[in-house]
Amino acid sequence: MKVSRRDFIRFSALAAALACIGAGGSIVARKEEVAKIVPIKTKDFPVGQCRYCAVGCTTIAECEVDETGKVVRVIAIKGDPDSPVNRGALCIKGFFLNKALEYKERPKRPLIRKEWINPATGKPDLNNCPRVKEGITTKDPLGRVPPEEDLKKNFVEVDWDTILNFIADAIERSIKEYGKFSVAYYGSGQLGTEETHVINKVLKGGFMLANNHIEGQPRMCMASAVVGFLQTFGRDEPYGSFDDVDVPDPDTGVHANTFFIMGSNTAEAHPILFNRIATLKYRDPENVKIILADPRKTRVGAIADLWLPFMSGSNLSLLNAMLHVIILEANNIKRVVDVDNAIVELNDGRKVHLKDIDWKYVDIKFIRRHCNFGIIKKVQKVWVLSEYDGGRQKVWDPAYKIGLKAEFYPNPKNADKYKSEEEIEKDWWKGFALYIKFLEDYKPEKVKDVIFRGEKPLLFDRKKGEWVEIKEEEAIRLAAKWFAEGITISLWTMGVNQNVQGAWINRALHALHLITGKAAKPGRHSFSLTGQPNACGGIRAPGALCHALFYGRVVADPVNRKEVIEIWRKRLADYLRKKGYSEEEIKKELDKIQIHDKPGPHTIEMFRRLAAGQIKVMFISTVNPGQSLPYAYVYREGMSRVEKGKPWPLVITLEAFPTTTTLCSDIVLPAASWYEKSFTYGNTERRYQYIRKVVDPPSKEMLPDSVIFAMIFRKLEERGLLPKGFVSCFWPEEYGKDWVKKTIENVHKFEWIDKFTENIWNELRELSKDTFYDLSGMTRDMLRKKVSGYRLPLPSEYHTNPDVKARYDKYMSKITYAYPYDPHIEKQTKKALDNLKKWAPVYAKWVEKLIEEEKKDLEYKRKEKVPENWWVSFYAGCKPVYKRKALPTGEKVPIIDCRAIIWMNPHWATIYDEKEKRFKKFTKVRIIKQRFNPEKAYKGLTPGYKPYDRYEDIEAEVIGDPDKDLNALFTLVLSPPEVPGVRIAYRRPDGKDEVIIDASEYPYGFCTGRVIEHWHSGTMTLRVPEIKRVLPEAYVEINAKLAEELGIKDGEPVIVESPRAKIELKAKVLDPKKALGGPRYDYLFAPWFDHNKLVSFLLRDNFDPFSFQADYKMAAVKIYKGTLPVKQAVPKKIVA
Amino acid sequence: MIKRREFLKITFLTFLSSVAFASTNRKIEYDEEVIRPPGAVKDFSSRCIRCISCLSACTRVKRYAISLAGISKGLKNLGTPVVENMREYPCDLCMECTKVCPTGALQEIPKEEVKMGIAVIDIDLCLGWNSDICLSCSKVCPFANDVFEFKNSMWGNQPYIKPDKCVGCGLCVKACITKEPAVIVYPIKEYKKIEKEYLTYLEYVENLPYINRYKLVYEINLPRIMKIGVERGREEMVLKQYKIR
Repeated sequence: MKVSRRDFIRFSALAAALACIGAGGSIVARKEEVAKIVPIKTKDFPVGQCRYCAVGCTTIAECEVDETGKVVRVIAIKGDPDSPVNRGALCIKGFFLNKALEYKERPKRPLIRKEWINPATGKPDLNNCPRVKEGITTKDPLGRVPPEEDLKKNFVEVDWDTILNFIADAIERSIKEYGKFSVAYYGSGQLGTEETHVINKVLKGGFMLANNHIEGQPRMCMASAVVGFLQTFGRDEPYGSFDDVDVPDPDTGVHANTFFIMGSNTAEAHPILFNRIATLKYRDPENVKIILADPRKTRVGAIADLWLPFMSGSNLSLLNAMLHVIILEANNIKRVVDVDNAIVELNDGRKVHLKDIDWKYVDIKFIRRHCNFGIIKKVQKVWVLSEYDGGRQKVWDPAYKIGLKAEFYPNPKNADKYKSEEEIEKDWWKGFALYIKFLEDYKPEKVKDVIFRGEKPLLFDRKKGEWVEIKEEEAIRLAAKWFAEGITISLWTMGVNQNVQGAWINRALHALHLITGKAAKPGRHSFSLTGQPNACGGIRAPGALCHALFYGRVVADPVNRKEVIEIWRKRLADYLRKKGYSEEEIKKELDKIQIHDKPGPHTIEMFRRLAAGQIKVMFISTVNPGQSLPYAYVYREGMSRVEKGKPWPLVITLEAFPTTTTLCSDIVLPAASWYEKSFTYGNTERRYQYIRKVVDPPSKEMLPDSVIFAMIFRKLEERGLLPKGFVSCFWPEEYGKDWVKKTIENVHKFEWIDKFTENIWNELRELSKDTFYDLSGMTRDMLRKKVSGYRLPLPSEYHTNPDVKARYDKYMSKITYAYPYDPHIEKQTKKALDNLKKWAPVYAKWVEKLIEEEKKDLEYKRKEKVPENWWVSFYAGCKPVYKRKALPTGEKVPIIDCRAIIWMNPHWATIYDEKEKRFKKFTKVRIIKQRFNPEKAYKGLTPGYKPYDRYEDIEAEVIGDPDKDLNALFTLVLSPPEVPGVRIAYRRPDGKDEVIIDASEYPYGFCTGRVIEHWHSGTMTLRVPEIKRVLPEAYVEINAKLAEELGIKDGEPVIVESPRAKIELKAKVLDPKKALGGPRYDYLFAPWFDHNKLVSFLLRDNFDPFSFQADYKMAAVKIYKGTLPVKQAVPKKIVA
Repeated sequence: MIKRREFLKITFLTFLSSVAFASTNRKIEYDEEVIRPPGAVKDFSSRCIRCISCLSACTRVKRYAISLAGISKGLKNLGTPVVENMREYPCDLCMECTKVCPTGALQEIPKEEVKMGIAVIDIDLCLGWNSDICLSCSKVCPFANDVFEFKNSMWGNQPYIKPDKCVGCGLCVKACITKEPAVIVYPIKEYKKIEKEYLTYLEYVENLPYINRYKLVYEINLPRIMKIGVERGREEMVLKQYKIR
């Protein structure tokens, strides 16, 4: 203490010095002092995007250099003051990033579990080893062994050539015995774009491995946002950028002043962005409004004005209630009386057509010009019971996608049926009327109980400086008012996406913005924040998921498949020709490039199939599913299964750190990390930054993941399992037979890896050309020169068309879909409308007319504070929804009408009664039971891609009246699947009850999440001593009121128990009114970074039936004082 | 054999005196006042009978916050309970010690009314004031809503602790992520002495023109914070060399 205090005086001295002498002199003095302390030579090297979150701060590495200027080691990571993203700032994770990479126990050579070693030869063996002969393994599904200890104790080091041959043997055998659908890959949004591309290329189009069995944790992170964007705008990724937050628009000077933050602890998960918002708030606390809608008052609460503590899962009721206020209440609409003719009754009894209303809050011009309505006429609650042999056993999943009926107003799918503009307009107004009809049910007074379930919202009283309780309906109205009146940005992350209705909540958030006209305008944006540093740039845009192809294409679309195959064939032919292959040989290899036409299994399904023994060889890279998957225990168990006489499953993990997944892996391949290699990252605002290699990894045998993948596949090329040159074309130099050795020798040269990744990058640029994600103009040279990178779209016209270049240089694609910000809006709009004109000229003319009308409407543009040359075209909307149209000429054109879709998103099962012309709760619940059939999965995935045998399909009835009884309504809501304190059961036709989930003994909600100190599963940040000292282990946040009731004191050990597992955690008691945060009364939170506390054992492994993203935000638990003999989470008997 | 702690102390004192004490001759008498356990009354030292009940209570609940003052704190305070090592063992206001005090020198009062001292953020060491975003101190504060104010700017989230609201428990000291804590709890009397200077400096830094602030952050403070890390690395090397660990 004394030391610190004495030190403290220093600043007063410095202050005095600065004040008297002036800053300059004092600074020089200080500089000398600093120089005295550290007599080492240092130099700054730009690195590029930070390794951690998707904000994508630009970083600089300060390195110690020797006499020749060569880097000895990295001393510190600093923010780049010139970066438009972080402007020099970093969060503590980034600040200590070099310390994480300096961790001593990183895997340094290829490792294989010792039970794979043939005692006779001393080499790994697929047949003659204890693992196969005796069926033993040292894997640890319970996660009780420290991962670094496991790596040291249970693994042996082998050389690269041996391990590559072993892996190639295993893949070859698996393919020969079970077919290509027995190999799978689970990747990561933390891998570089080029790294993922190597394996994505192979699993999409590589002959014997073209099986689409590729997934990544962006599925668990962003899939719902992807579906939200695709179904609303037709193109994934946010259309605005960070500039909207606080950078005045170059033409109008506008930026946002209202923030609606739902399900995002921005302060801790995206701290740099949060600071930009908080700075606005600090400068102008009265006029900048921040609304926090979250079951936890997260640290965002520090700057919030209003906290809406809705029950986790009730997001849609809240958003629909806000829409109700904005559309109905603000415009005095009582109800819709005639849907077909769009006649409404006003509060004063008058009956008017919708177009005669003088709209308040609703931007009628914007929605008429740019939006269609998506009306869901039937959505039924469906439960599917799937049975797997072993592993997951039995599981109930909600599946409200089955039997869903949606209609569009106007309907571009049948656009050729429209004979006149009046018909289209009539349809449009009908759609709007139906939308309003649907919202009638969401009056704040009617839905407040299902939204808040007893918790009171808090309003921050700025004068008194304290939080005061307000009425629920009042809070909803206030939120809607602020939202509609401000220049608003919505921000959301996992709280929205990790939900069984995640995709629909995304759509509802977009709908809020479209209805109020707060989209594609400076400062107005529905902004989904990505979690992973490269989820946007490496997985979403290049389509490294089971259903997707590159840059907006999908595997199910034959035209898309053909496009990709043609690009690949052309490139490969060029390469092989250069290598001197004959045309005949070339043709043979080209024919091997094929893309399977059915999507592979999504993440949860993939791990269920792995656990059921259907998937034999599993690759995992830079991700920790053993810790991150919901109900991770069953999947850990599945990964750790052994079968006497068989070498399956073989789990191969590429990792830079020991993790809880390496505890369940057979092979660990040592990966180089971040500034030890070169690659490209794309952050959440579509910005691509090139990460430069700065230092060598601790061992020469730690290789970039891109090179590891490429070497494995080059081995398979040699065996004829892949087309020749398919992957080896990326090598910058030609090597002979001993290419493995030579590659490892050269890979750590800066130029080598730079060239290797550039070859891959060029292929990606070609694949992106003319798509909505066009980055074909973003050459590697440009990225090398500019550390903070470029935003897409950056089409190749940038280099040829001066107008595009001027606009890009000025705005840097800060807003897409809007002129002048979007560099390729004219091209894309023209292309889409030309296609539309071919078969639906009337409709196309109507669309074009509305856009032209907007171009001339200066009055509107002045009112909306947008540039005078501004106009909007959602030029991607909405191909993923409408698919393609076959023309008589045989051409199949995408249906794109340049309009977004405003979806209706019910929170509970709903049906439209055509007779009564109104929406009703749909109380018939469909129950399906099916058994997984691995044989179907092996054989080309028939029927469809759902290899199940269905043995029951019935319709049951909800017990009780959902209109009156809240608990009955909770059995009918589509989210959450497991409601705390509620028994979810239905009356079967035979009179018996079908109990799906009984959570009546588990009265509290529970979720997992992130903290500012740690990154995801803590494999990196827990290795930094400074960070570990501050936050060494997981805890559970409890509301002070609940803690008092249960007699729990701060810091005491408590047991949190769900139907699936229990765990001992330290209690952290928080009062939302006093502390910086705190959950609502009946909700608990635990961070999931701690590998000694696998909190994900407690969660349910249900997923959104549209996005297949799992729900991490609502599990039913009970909590009580006590301790457990085991400190790790303890799984209970596996439950459905 | 040198004990590790002593070794650290020596190296640090030499290091710091060279850095920090170069240009000041002002002296604060540390032993003038001390940080007491929560709920201490005004005339604490005359009421306290040195029975160490509070110390045992604190040890019983495994908080280890309370220790006994040595002679360095003055004869008057010798043997009285103090909360000294907040870096390791801050007080988490469980108030168990107040329940066992036989003389009423410690009184059980609502947590909000506790006043052990005042936490002060050293804005030259604090990451939040030097172009980084860090919330560690405010996150652990039980009354952060009242206590913390954030002067957010492009230079960081700039936390400020309101002296009239801070209870002085020291949880933030433990949570501070920098090698040397950038937040220190001052006894109230001592805080009063530095308050004016501190606030002047705060305002001064906050209003520095861009270029000066840039120099302060990137050329003085950040290197300083990071070099402490470097020193630490060296320390460890030396420790290893002499096999002290």
